[in-house]
Amino acid sequence: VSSAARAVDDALVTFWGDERVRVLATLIKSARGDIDAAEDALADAVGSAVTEWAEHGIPDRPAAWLLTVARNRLIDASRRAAASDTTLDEQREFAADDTAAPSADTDDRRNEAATAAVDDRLALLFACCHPALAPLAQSSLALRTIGGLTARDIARAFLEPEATTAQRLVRATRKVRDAAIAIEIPAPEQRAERIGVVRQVIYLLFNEGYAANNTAVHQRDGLCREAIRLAELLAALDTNDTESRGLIALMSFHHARRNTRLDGDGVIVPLEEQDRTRWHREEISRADELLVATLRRKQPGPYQIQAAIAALHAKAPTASATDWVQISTLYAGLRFWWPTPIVELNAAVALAMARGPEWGLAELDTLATQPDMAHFHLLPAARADLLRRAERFDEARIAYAEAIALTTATSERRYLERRLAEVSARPS
Amino acid sequence: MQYMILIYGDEQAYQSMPAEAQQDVFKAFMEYNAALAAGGVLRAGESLQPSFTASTIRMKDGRVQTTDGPFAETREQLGGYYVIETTSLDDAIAWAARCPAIHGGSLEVRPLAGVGVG
Repeated sequence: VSSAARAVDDALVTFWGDERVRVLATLIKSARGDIDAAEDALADAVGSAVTEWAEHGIPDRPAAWLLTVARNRLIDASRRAAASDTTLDEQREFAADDTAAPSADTDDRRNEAATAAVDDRLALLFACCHPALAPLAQSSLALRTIGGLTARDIARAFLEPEATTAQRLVRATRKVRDAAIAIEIPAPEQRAERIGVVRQVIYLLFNEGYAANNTAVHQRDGLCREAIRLAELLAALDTNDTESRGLIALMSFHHARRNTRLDGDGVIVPLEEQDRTRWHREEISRADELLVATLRRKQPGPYQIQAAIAALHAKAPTASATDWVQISTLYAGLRFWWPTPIVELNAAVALAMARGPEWGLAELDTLATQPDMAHFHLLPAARADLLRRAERFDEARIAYAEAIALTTATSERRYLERRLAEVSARPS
Repeated sequence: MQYMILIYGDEQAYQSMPAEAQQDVFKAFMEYNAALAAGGVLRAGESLQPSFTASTIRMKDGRVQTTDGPFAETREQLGGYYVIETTSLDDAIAWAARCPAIHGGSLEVRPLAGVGVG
């Protein structure tokens, strides 16, 4: 491989991680919500870049180049469609509108200015989260367009057959295009009812990047950074939006620990064993400043509470110095907002850490009797952990085996297997 | 983009209203029609006779079979429709939300396929 080809590869990888979403969002808007057409046009443009850049050099602003070329592809495609079917007025309109867009050769500079100024990412996210789409369609669509995940990745994340995900995506993309769901940030009145879902989907995007499931490292990191950027764009819409600021802080605390979350073999490293010297301290301080300023507004909510919990972990000098009493109190507050299985579980673990494993085990036993917890795969894992801490190794062994059987993510399973080996070596 | 607003409601509830209340509903619809027209979005619209006046036809064994009433017994029946033209789904939803039938009924907002029959 020539060095020119390698440089082109690097430039395209950088584009994909840093600017793909922004360019795609603008293209989808130009294509009036036709996500497939926009994605095809971008893929075409990337294809052209491989040969053109190798021959003529990488342009100063690769993203602007790709946007311009992809836009021209969109115009060509819509002209072809208009020629083959002149009864479709909207396609003619679309072609007419976009003839005004600068072409690659004539007006690069104007287009570059436009690329710098326009950011349709948040508009795209609001469209993905439109209430006319079912919840699973909303998150699938966001994971595909903003997350850049394939139907197969999403199917794996949702633990469902790929055909189910693919079918849902086909319907959702068609609905965005055919029902004319606007690629726009809604007016403040409508925003209020939609912002909760938007935050939830941002956090889902972040967690998909963070969960270390099935994707390559740089892609995961890109997803996390994209989620944080989206939350920043969302918060910038409204100075009184404390929850979006809580969400930024929450994700930033987690993201600051990115280098220590997995060991060299890709096995999850639990928080208490992570090398705290490798955490990004300056990111933690920035997140903390934002959180403190936000909490001072006295408009609490679940993201701010979770951020406060993450802050206590991130700021503890050692694992044993963690303020579990305060964390346990915060979880009690979080349960009020979100009585979900994962929150109930974490609340029980926090109680165990604050008061002793037997307290947490008693809580978990109560939880296990609830119908929606019966098949929750993290329950036996949490139980196993507390049994290990209580030095009830025989029971811990059984619980770890049960948890392993229920866990699909490789990195998590290998962690549990490590623990199982540890407790098996201990006499009870 | 053209959207059809399909109006569903409980016919029984409407029919058992006192005449005065029915008058109020009628008046509210007249005002809504005027607003749609003034907004320049109205393309078509009608209210329908009660569902017991409907006939459902289907092909069975190569012959047209006619039965009375709508296809399925439901709590809400189709009572009328509008066709409006707006630039986005949100605008269409905003117009539909002003329809008097939203009180006690439900509205389906659906884009026309734009293929036409003429």
